[in-house]
Amino acid sequence: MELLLQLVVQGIVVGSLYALVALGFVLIYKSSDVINLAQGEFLLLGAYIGLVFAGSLQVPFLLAVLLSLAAAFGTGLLVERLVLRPFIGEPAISVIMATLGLSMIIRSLIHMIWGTAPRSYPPVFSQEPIQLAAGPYRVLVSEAHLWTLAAAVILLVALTAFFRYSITGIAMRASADDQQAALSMGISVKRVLAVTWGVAAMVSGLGGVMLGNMNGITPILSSYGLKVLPVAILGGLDSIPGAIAGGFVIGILENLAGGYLDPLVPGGGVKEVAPFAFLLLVLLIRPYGLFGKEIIERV
Amino acid sequence: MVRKVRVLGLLAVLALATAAFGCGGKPAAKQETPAQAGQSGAQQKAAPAQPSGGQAAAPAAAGATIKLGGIFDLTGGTGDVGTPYSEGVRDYVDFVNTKGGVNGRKIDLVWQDYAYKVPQAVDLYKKLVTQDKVVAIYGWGTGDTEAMKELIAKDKIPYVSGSLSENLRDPSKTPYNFLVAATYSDQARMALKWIAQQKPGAKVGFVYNDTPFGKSPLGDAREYAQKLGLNWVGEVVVALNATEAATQMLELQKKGAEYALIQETTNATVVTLKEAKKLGLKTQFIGLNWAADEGVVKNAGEAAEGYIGVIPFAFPYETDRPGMKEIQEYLSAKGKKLEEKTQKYVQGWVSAKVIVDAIAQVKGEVTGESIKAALESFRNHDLGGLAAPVTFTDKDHAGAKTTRLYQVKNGRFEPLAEMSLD
Repeated sequence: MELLLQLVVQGIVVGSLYALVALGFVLIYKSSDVINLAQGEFLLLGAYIGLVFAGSLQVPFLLAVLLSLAAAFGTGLLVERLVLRPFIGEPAISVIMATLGLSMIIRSLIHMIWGTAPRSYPPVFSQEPIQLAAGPYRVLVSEAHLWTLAAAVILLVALTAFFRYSITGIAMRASADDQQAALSMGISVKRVLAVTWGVAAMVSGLGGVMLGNMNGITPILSSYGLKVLPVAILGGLDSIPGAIAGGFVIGILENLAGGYLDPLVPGGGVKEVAPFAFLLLVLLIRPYGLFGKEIIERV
Repeated sequence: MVRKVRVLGLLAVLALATAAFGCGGKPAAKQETPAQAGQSGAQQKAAPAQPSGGQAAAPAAAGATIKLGGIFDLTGGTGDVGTPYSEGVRDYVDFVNTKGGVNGRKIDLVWQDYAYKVPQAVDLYKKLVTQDKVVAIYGWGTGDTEAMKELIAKDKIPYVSGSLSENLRDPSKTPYNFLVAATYSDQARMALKWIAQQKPGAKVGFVYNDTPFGKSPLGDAREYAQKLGLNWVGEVVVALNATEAATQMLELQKKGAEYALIQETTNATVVTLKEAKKLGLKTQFIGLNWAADEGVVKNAGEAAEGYIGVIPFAFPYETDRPGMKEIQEYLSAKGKKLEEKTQKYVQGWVSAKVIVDAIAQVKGEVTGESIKAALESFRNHDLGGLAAPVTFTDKDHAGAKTTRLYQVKNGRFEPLAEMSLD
């Protein structure tokens, strides 16, 4: 029982980070039919920007998080303006390739500026484990993990409210549904796309800051982006609740598989494979993902 | 039309930028045209062979440079430790050159980043051998070094890499590979021997990554643990780029591992130690060479307290070693500080020194074969206290069979025990 609870709690924490990064994928896909292959680099950039504020400039941690979110948002806007905007109306595959190029450029710039040595945030959270309950229900978590979960949940709730109630959010949903109709209603699709990239960079950036806080940063953290892509596909690439649910599902599944199946397989590694096996199974039954929009075309 | 042009222009810029920075790499230190490369190759060939027992450096040879190759990982999966290692190698070569070179000849180090990708390493190796005509190579990873061992033997290129894999020590199989310190397997054996001294029959686990590097000492360690009467409880995989390792640590906890060896680089070691601390593990972790350096202590913080490392190379703060004074002298002349360097930098410096020391002993033409012969004449070759003295014979290319264990106390690795194999 203790192991099961521990694995589930760990899965929820990891899942909240997956959900954040998957949300970045979904937002961009929904608004422009493009899979952003630079999502992992946005995460990395967010982590390093956070480090500049919290480490080099010694800004109080909470303020550093907010400043890095703002900086990440700005970077998203900039990237959209400089790299993506000229591609409006071009085939999706060209744009996807542009995001691949973008990912390499961001990663190389990070190598040039910060090098490859592992870095860590100044200690903010205590490293002593926190015990959530006693006896057979004993679960240990670190303070950093709890805060990560809290921050992810706050941001996910805030974004859901933003999409539901704010004018910009509604405009974003409208453009995502049907760009032509949105344009004819006077919505600036250009502006919507810019905000989308900003928000996508911001959510990944928060993921980066929190990951950096948990176990430190190295440039190989950017591989997180590709790790999370199946999460977004599982939830349905065009579904925001899908990204969030997918994140938690994969996080928990991965940990349960690691905890119960890894010891049975010589050499382990089930933890890495299980999400993909599950994804394959889901896609066989629901090719559009758990929450994805089923598109029916009659010929 | 205008937009098409803009899009094309943007794509061109992207392509150029990717070519310049991409492939995760910095451009080669020395870019040569084939013509130049051919010329310098010809120069080298033109250097007359020295009669054995003659003068070390004849005037005709003094002008020609000695070409060495470097295949480093700066930006790949092991870039965390690969970068300081490569700096150590390059700085040592520069140091030798500032002192007038070896036997009056400057060293020309041609190097490139291969981002820990085996096919890229093989391509680079072929370029170094056929185009640049290097006489010896500083390599890096276990995967690529092992993949190229036949090529290395065929081309007769002495090859000192960052890898200390047991598979590279036997000259009957890998005649041109040399290991400047105890192999990973020997390091694991010595750590296990120490564990057996502390607690006979202790439960021991193993943390590794699923790469040739991670797996290298696994079988030997398991076998030796059983031989020592230790209770081998099993192994867990933590990827080099892991961001968490909770299930793996819970498994170690469930198995009651009292000790666990770690075969990783800095990043995965930090993740392992932090997760273990978070889950309240009582396991005593002992990291092999690449899992133990200042980066681990700095980044794991409190979680690194009490952590033990197998440390074949000196820390920069061990300034009483004569070899360290040399590094200090070089760095201060360059306006750099020794305190900023890590133990992995020292490892690179030592690796470079071993080949250069061998070249210095070559009497006659400097070729792969003559360097190999010089290396195999090393008996307790002194490395200024930066590492255990090395011995290479035609039967064994593992340079040392001793190592030291250090333990983190108050945020710093302090000496704990000296270990050797019988």
